[in-house]
Amino acid sequence: MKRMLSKSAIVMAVLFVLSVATAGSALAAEPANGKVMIYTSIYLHIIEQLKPVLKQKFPDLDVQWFYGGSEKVIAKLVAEFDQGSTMADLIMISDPGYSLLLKREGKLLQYKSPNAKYVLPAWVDKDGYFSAVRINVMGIAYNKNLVAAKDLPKTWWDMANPKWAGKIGMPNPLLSGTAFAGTAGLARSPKHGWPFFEALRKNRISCEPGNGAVETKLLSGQLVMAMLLEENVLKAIGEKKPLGFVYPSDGPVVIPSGIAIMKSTKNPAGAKAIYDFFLSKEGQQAILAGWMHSARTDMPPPANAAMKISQINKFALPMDWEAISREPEQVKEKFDQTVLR
Amino acid sequence: MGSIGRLFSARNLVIGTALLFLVVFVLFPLALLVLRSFLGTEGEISLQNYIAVYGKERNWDAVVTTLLVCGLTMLFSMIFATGLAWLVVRSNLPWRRRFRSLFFIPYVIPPYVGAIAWILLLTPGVGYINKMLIEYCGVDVPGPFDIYTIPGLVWVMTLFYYPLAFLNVASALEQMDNSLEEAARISGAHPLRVFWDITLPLVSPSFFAGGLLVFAASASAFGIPAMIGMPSRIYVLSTQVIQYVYMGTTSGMREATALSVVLMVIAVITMTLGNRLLSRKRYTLVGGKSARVLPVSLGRFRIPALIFSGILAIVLVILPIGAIVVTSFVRVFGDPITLENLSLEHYAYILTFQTALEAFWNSFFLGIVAATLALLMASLIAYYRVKAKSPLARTADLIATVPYATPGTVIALALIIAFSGKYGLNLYNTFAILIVAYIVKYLAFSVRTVCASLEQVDLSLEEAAQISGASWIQSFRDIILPLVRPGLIAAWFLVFMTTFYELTMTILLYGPGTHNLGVILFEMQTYSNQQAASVLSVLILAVVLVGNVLVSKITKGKITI
Repeated sequence: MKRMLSKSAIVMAVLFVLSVATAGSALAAEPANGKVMIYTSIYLHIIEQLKPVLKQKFPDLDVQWFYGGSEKVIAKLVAEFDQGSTMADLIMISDPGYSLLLKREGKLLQYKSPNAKYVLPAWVDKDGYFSAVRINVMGIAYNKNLVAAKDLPKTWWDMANPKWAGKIGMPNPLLSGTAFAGTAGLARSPKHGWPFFEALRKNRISCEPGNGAVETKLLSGQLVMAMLLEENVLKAIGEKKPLGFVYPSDGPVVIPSGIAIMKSTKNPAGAKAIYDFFLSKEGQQAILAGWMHSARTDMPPPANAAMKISQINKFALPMDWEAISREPEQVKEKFDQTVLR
Repeated sequence: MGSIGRLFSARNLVIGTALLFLVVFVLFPLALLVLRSFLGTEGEISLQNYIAVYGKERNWDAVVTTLLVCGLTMLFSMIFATGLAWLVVRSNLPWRRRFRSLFFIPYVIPPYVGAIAWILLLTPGVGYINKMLIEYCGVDVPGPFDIYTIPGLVWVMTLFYYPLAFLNVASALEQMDNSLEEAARISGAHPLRVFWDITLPLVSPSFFAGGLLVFAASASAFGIPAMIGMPSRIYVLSTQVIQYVYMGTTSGMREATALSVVLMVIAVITMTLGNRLLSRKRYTLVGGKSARVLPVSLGRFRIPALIFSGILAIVLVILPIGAIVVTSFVRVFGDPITLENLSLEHYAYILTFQTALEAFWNSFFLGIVAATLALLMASLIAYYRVKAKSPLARTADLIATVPYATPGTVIALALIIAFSGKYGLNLYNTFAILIVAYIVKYLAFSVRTVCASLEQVDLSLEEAAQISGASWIQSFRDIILPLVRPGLIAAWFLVFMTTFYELTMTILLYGPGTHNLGVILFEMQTYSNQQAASVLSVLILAVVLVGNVLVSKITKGKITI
């Protein structure tokens, strides 16, 4: 018994020393100062919460943000690459396919964050070019006042039920990164594919510029159910608004939205510090406060969520991000022809 | 003679600087844009972008829809504007001055705020007006109106772009020599006949020019078609360009460029036609300085006209503003509007929202700098154009008209291509690129406003000063400036207000830390919440409405373009 105790004490001590040593070396090697520019599609209110935290955590680091919908950020990056270089040091956008694309184009800096080991391995790039930082879940949201319990949708296909004709919606994948991921996933799914979108078109689905616009129309009663991010619904529930959320049994879309450092960064130390922060428990707390699921496996689900991400993963729609990252144009083009016309 | 030579060289130097600015920031980027639209994937000259763009049926559809929507908007605006302008300028309508400022208000409301307002009012089933009709008039659900249709789009565009025609026609009516009308009236012609046979032909250049202005403005509009058209699959050229930009690919960008060039050509042609018509105006309308304008009696139609004007004022101003204000106080959007469902929480949210506050300061800063610089340059151009009849100034004016007619989306694209460092100057992601964009876009507008007030100043006053030994700077400062001050202030405010909430160009040009109110509002509307967006709209409205009151105070109710 005594020996056992001392053994574990030694292990603890070694662990402690090790952790202090690594922390100390990280601190001693490169203090975070200068400027870090983050291009992101994270919601404005989350950035708002993060600003004071980052200020306190990194008093010498000037953290700047460029905020816009995913596709807007991508368009900006494309324009900047076209002209030479980008101002971004760090990007956090919701389309995982785009991270892969940037990796292939050699635009990203390889960085194996010590915190990446807490993230589900499937969500971390094996070569260390990016990692998931927040997990978005796409399912079906509905207005509780307008859909009776017996009518609740169970599968994606229920959105094609003529009963809801003209009253269903989704964010436009040409303008929203998460909507694009959802569309690409469903389009590749053998159970759905383009026939599913043709059915939605026949049911007169309305395509809104963003998730927020979909939420507004659900609340106002213009739409009764819609493809929407879980986080919008969780936030609405928190504000006592009459929205509900269904994880379709034929596969909710799980989107591991990434964080990555640009190869062209002039402040790799600062960018790495922010990267580590976002994957730390404290950084992930901000993700939870933004009603999203944490990328770390040791964190609880966001408030109001009916399922943990590990449960959702069991029946989530299979996503081949590599394949998706190779055909964004074709998917957008096909969606444009199938649904937007 | 020597002094005159120096004088002219000093003038040429100043005007030359303005001209240089225009060449660098207008001609160069736009030329680059046109050039790029003809470049293929390998950088060779080819038509492949045009073939790619116009090989697609949906782009043809967008062209047709643009022509249809803008044509209808133009037509209704012309009819609407002429009737209203005549009522407030020439008739004996009670409180016509007040009505005149009221009818002008839609001009200063940001179009996308107007779109949000009419969406709140006329959405099937849930719009305030539809709801009221369902509840109190027994109309069937979802109510008679649907904003998400082409008529809905034309309705909102007309309401927010007709003031361009209204201003033109109203100022023409004001300057018109009314002795002709009087002669007809004395000869026993019916007032309606006088209007049809005398007034209308006399103001017809302004009537058509105003119409074309409306056409050009609505063709380049982005906010209204994006919010009303896109969800219901109605696409116009400007929204189609944005879709290509957001494809996020190099080929998407190239196709956007090709589509933009066509949009630019349509707009520039319309504007040039309009300017042609307006220049004809100068000799059709003999200066009416001596003639006092007598109002035409409406007779027994005076009260009906008053009621009609009152209803219009409600529809144009009170309904949309009311809808936004009410929404900004609603706690849960979509729930009935009861006392429990009203709160100030969204105001508290916005007023402590750092990003929104930053946007407020950015908007003020950008608006003030852009308006001041635009006014400075516009005054120089206008002065040399009107007083010195300088050909350089005329060229500058001509160049400035091109971006005024060109859709904001296109200007923004051109500026990104030209000033991202590839050609020596890197303004990308700075406040400077936004300021440049605002100046080039609204310069022509300032020039026109200043020209109009300068034309009323007698040349002899300045000559007298110069004969008495004053330098041209002195005479400018002491003689011209005081006389045209109201016009200058009006020009400043008009540019300030439009740039204060600018969205179309800013959405493409903003960078880290340079977001303005328009961008934050658009993001909130599309990505997060309706009420926060309404609160921002209310705050923007407060600023522009106060500005509008100031302008009409300063110009005594007469804003001339």
